[in-house]
Amino acid sequence: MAEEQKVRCLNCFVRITVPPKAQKLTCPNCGVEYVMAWRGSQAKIAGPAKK
Amino acid sequence: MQKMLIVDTEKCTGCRFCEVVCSVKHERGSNPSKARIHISKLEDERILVPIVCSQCEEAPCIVVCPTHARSREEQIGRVLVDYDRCIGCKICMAVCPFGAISFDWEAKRIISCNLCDGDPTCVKFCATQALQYVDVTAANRKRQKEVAAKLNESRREFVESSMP
Amino acid sequence: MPLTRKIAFIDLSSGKIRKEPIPKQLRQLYLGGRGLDAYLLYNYIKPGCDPLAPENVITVSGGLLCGSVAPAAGRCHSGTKSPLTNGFGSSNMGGFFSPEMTFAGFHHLVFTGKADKPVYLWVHNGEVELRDARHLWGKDCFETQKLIREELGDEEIQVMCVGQAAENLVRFANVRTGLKNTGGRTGVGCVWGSKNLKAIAARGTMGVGNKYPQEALDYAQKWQRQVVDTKVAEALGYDGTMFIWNVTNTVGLLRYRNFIFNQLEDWENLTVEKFHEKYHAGVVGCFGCPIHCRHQWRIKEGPLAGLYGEGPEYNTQMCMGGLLGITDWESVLHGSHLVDKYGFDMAEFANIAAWAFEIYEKGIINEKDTGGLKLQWADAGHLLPQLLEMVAYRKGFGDLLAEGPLRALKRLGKPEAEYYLLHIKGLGNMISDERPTPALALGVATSSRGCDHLRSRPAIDLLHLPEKVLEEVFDGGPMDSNFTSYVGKAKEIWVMERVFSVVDSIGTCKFQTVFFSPHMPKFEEWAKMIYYITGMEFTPQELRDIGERVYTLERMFNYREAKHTRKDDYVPERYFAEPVPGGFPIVKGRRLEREKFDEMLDEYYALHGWDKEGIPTKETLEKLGLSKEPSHII
Repeated sequence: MAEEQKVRCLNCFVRITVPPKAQKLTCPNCGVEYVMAWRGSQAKIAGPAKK
Repeated sequence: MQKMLIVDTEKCTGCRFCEVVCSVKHERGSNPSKARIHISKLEDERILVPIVCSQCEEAPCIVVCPTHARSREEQIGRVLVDYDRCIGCKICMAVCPFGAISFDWEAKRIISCNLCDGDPTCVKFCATQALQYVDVTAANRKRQKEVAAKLNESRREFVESSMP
Repeated sequence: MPLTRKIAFIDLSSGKIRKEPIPKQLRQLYLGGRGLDAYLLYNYIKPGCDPLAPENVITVSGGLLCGSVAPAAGRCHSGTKSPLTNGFGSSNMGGFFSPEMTFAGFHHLVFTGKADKPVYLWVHNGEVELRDARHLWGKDCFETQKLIREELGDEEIQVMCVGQAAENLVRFANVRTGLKNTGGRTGVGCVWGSKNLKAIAARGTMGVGNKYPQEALDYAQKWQRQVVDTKVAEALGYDGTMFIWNVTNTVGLLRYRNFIFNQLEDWENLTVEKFHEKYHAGVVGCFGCPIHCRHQWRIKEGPLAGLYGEGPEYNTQMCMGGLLGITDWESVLHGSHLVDKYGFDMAEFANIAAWAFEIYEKGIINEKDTGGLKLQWADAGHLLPQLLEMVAYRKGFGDLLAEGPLRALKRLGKPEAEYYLLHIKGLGNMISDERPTPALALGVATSSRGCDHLRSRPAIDLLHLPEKVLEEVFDGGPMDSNFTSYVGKAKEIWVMERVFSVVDSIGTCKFQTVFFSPHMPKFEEWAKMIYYITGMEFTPQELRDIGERVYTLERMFNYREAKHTRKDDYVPERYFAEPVPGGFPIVKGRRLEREKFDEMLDEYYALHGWDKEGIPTKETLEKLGLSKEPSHII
């Protein structure tokens, strides 16, 4: 079972759980939106989502 | 079970730390030119190949040695040199298919990898695991697994992309 | 044994070469590398000389532990009086050159005077000789290295060289080795060119002994484990320094189109992920390094098919990319290939070129000033190769850009253009926008080589680490986890200066320091490694003191040669005047606050024991043993 992926919000620094293979991510705390990238099963932030 | 040193050239980054630690282990000082392993970098430096003694079963260096200084030791599975017999003629260097035997011009004798008596130093320090010391029966197992994983990944991607 | 490595003094005017042992006293005061180079430059340079005159001096060195079993002990330093800033010129590069120089028996080279025709130095197993380089003059950095290896008949020879930019006295010409290792900043290469020094070739088989070989080996393994176990080592090993971009561009901490915006909005094409997909060709590492943060790249199709190189770095992504408004990888890679070929600083180029585009857009200059070039942002990618060549050969408008910030402004003679050219002490600004990050702003403002991040950047300040962790890394509090705060930041800079001064003096890589991760080796680890390899005993505090001494000597150099004082320790006016236009809420709208910046600066001077003008006090100099400089111990 792949371990749960978490990233740190770069705006408010809370940890956000990333659903598997998610392409977009919204911080539940401050609302900023990210585009995600995946290296195998590892999630990383690629950039800001376009408004 | 006998182990062998395997080299994965795709993982080598050319950092040459194996040369440094090998020379520190055997010569007490950092001197890549006296290491038993050498990274050969092809001209445009995009191909990096660690060259080290393959501990051949039918070693040409053993066959040509005029004083029978080279011999095979089966317990660890390596080719050793008896320095009481070695006359420094360097013919073994000429016949080695890999260029893995060097000459220590200060001690005036040939040097080649002796697998650090079964605990190779270079393997301990190779950060990418380009150098590994593994069971002879499992030597290709890791590569098989890596290939299987890659094939599985491409097959999965193909299947997913052809789903309606 | 590192302590048996020698220093060679090469007088290029007379051709005389003198080889000396390095006094242990100097090792105790400065260790080696950048630290000892600072001493040599302060002592040997004729005060007030023109950087391009024969009275300037060049140093080339490996650190105290260069070539040893310490991981990543392959950094090379080259220093001089900078033709850009008139202050401390200092550049540092990785690769394999300085270990080879060490195996050839030398840790330091000092060049004085000027050769009457192009020469290169050949250093091999205790021997040092000057050789004719007329046939190499005009060759680029790739060819020069190949030709020297062929001429001297040994593929294992390492070469450090300059390219056409240095020959043409481009003020930010650099020194190079390998495919892309670069001693980039402060125009050290330009001084090489002014002395007709084309290259140094090194080849050696003289080992670097260890005082305690088994302990050194065991400790090296421990150190390596400590480094490799950090999260940042993994990120660097896979994405190289470009992993930083995913953070800084997302937040909005970068300069886009000079200073017009703080983020690439059309970023999708310029990601490391895209790079991996289309251009990545392998991973390589510098001498002895377990992190291997360097990519190899190759363009497979299109008009540039077949072009290859090493890199790119985070800096490349922005210097050849976002800073000029360029967002396609092929333009960026082509640009990086050309700066590696001609040998000049891409950071300095990008900064001054971006300025040119911005003032063209604002109508301050026009085609008459640019010799017909239409510097429109949308055409930057298309114009880049041409501009790079024009700078390398000082052709047309390239001749103005090649002068660097201070002299280009003077020559242009348009006072309204000054506001748009970002520089500190005459060194162009970095790709980063430090408006929301007071610590990083203080760092670039006070850096001893001008605007630069590698003298003191506490990158971990951006990670919002717990205060307890920051207090441990920075030797006490108060600290603030927020990177937008001004609290504790002066201390961060002060500590990082010492960290970097020491690591540059022992000659290992900054990526194995608390630069990127709080878990990396620091003074305690360095003290142990130095002991096992050389037998020299330093307490961690004594190493901190050496760091302080080195940095203060650089500060003294800047005061003596360029009259740098408090007035020069500021970020550009734009940082105070213009609020951050976009990016995430944490940065948007922020400006650097002048009053708070001044307070930080006061705090920083107090930590150093400098007066309100930023000049080291008499007591401080005495405490550090610097009151008798220049002391001419060697």
